[in-house]
Amino acid sequence: MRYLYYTGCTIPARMNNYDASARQVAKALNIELIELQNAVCCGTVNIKSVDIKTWLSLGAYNLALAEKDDMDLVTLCNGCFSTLKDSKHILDSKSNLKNEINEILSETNLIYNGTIKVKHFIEVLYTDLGIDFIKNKIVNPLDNLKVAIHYGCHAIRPSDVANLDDPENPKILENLTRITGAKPIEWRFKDQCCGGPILGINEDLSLKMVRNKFIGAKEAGADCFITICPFCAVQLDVMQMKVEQKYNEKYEIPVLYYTQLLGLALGINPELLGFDLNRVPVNFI
Amino acid sequence: MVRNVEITTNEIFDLDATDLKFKDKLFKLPDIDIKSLKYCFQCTTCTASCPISNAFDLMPHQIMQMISLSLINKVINCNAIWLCLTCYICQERCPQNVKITDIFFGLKNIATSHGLYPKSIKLFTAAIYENGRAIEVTDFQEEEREDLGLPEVSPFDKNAIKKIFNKIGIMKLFKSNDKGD
Repeated sequence: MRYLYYTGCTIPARMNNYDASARQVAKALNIELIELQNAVCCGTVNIKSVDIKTWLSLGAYNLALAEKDDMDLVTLCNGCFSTLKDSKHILDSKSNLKNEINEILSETNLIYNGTIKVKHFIEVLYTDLGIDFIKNKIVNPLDNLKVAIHYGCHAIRPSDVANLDDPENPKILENLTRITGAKPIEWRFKDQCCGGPILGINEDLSLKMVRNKFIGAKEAGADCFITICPFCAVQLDVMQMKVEQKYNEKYEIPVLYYTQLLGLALGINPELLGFDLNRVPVNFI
Repeated sequence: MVRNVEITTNEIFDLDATDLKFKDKLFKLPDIDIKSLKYCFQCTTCTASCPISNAFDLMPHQIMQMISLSLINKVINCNAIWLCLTCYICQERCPQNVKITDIFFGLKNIATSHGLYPKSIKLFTAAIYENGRAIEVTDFQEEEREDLGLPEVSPFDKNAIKKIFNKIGIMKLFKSNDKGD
């Protein structure tokens, strides 16, 4: 299976453990990832807040670029996934708007047609490969590991755009986690936003939100968080020590990308999965 | 919790407070659906669902009502539109299918065009305009990647971003009437 691969801005700048583990997992499962060249930042919610038309144009640019190849476009980041899928959803349902955006894109000699499909990497694993296929490749089951799953809002909402899973009670990551041997646990604040989008606007409130996550996961006895979004990982992993200092509390809950968890279960060398870059030490490997 | 924001009868008929073109402007934005707003019956499901509405100066349901009443000044000056997490829970749960989160994006567009935006938004937009990326990749990260056997980061097309931004004129929003803080 071949896919175009778009890593966006945050992953190569902050989260190379996600990129490394995704590529390792892809290799182990015979998924070929071909990096999209000459792309631009997806714009994410920030540019959408400033000017929706500019945001749509950036989305259309990346989609048009990807359409040149006959492959689905895959992203690891919930922000990129949401933006690309939302842009496509809007452009494909409004032909006047599509023409207007194509007029803007003509500056770059590209045209958006609407033939491309956008997928989250976990969708490739779950839907395109399937649970049974992956299950057969597990050589190092992580039995007894209790994990607090954290989806990140934009992977599942708005559901008419994301079209990935139930917007309030998703199960994809639970099912994907179980095949690694690890046990998804119920925990408080699981379905709430991590607070990441307002980190630059109201840090106190943003950290208060993610603190709830640490409290919820701790009281439920979680050994680690599992996430699929680099922004959620900034909150859960990068900001964890800051919250500990601010509130004079200790959580020490490691934060793994799902691809790191799966990589371990597939028997991939942990060094290749980028665990050195996880901010909270992953002590159970 | 005190919810002391009221809409007075005086305000509704105060032509300085209302801007009848406001709704036109809002609902001319791409993907902002006025039809959905008309069905809002003020049930407050949005406000009850929002994880941080307690920190808002205006509640989401009040904002929906204020748009209907064209009370532009209150709406574009409130902190709620910028504190919105964009988690889409309100929109997902709205029994009337009002596109609440999407409407919030439209309100932020209008606030920005009036020079009302948080500084972080301006910095983020400027970074993308200058570098093509929201966050630059440094030599340090390139070394990190090399150690992990990852290829060099593929360059983004800075010129394409500049062409798109210039064609639309988005950076001009920040030059004139800059009240960002």
